[in-house]
Amino acid sequence: MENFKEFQGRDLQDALSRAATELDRPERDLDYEIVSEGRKGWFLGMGSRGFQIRVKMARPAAYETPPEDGSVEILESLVSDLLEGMQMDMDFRIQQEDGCLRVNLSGPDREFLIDPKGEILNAFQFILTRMSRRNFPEHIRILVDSDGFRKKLDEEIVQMARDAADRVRQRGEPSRLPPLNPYERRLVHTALRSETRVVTRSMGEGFLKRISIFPARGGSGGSVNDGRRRRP
Amino acid sequence: MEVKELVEQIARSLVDNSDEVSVTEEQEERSIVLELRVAQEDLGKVIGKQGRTARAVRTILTAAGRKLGKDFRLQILE
Repeated sequence: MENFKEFQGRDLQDALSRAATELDRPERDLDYEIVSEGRKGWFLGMGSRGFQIRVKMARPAAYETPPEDGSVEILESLVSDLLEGMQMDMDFRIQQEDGCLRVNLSGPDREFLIDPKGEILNAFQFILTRMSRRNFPEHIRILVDSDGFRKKLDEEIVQMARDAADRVRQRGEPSRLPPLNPYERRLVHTALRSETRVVTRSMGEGFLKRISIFPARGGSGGSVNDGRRRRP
Repeated sequence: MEVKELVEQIARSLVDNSDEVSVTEEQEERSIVLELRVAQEDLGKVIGKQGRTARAVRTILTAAGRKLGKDFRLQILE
């Protein structure tokens, strides 16, 4: 089963950068074809249509036949080793969902695995991903959570971004969020895309970047966003 | 599995030369120092880009330390 998603932009570069932001993958890794090169429009860009590309979603063969490739069993043994090595009295469950493997940890030692920023769960997830890399396809994403903790964190980040967007609209001045990792930045970009009169952009280099929220002219956020480049 | 063995297992799964991985444990005044040795060419693999892998291992050791009431320190050597 092939899986595609279409993206529009002002030109090829713009469409690619949008796709990269949304999919949280580097532009150079995108496998795409051009659907439409758009048209210029008649007057002041009115009637112009965007450049459209169709991007192939990362779906390696292992996605389609997950039960046989043994990835769940491998992950199970890695999680159980990690927990044991960390001396944690915890149970876990692995679920397959949207091409992700979700690991949920629960049990009496949960308090030792939870910190305000979720750094321990992040480290657990990072090491687990690294350890499993040799055993199964890179594109399988491993997510580690503990009884809904991550969801709460996600909601807090989105709320912080919305509050900042409110301030930007009120004062007409840009605002900068604290450094966020790629996953968190995607949450913010996605949440604020539907908001009016603001645009978001990531600034900086490296794993952690800061998102700036800028006031934008016009009515709906969507149309204002058009034609602007965003970085993931 | 002990904490020392955990570090060993993580390192083994990351490097190319798993035979050359060793971990020694030393009790210092207030902390337990875990010295991880890997082949020189594998150093980058246990440290990671911008030190991310090493930092993640240290975070995991912090969690284990919270549980055990101990302070683990990780040193990476070639």
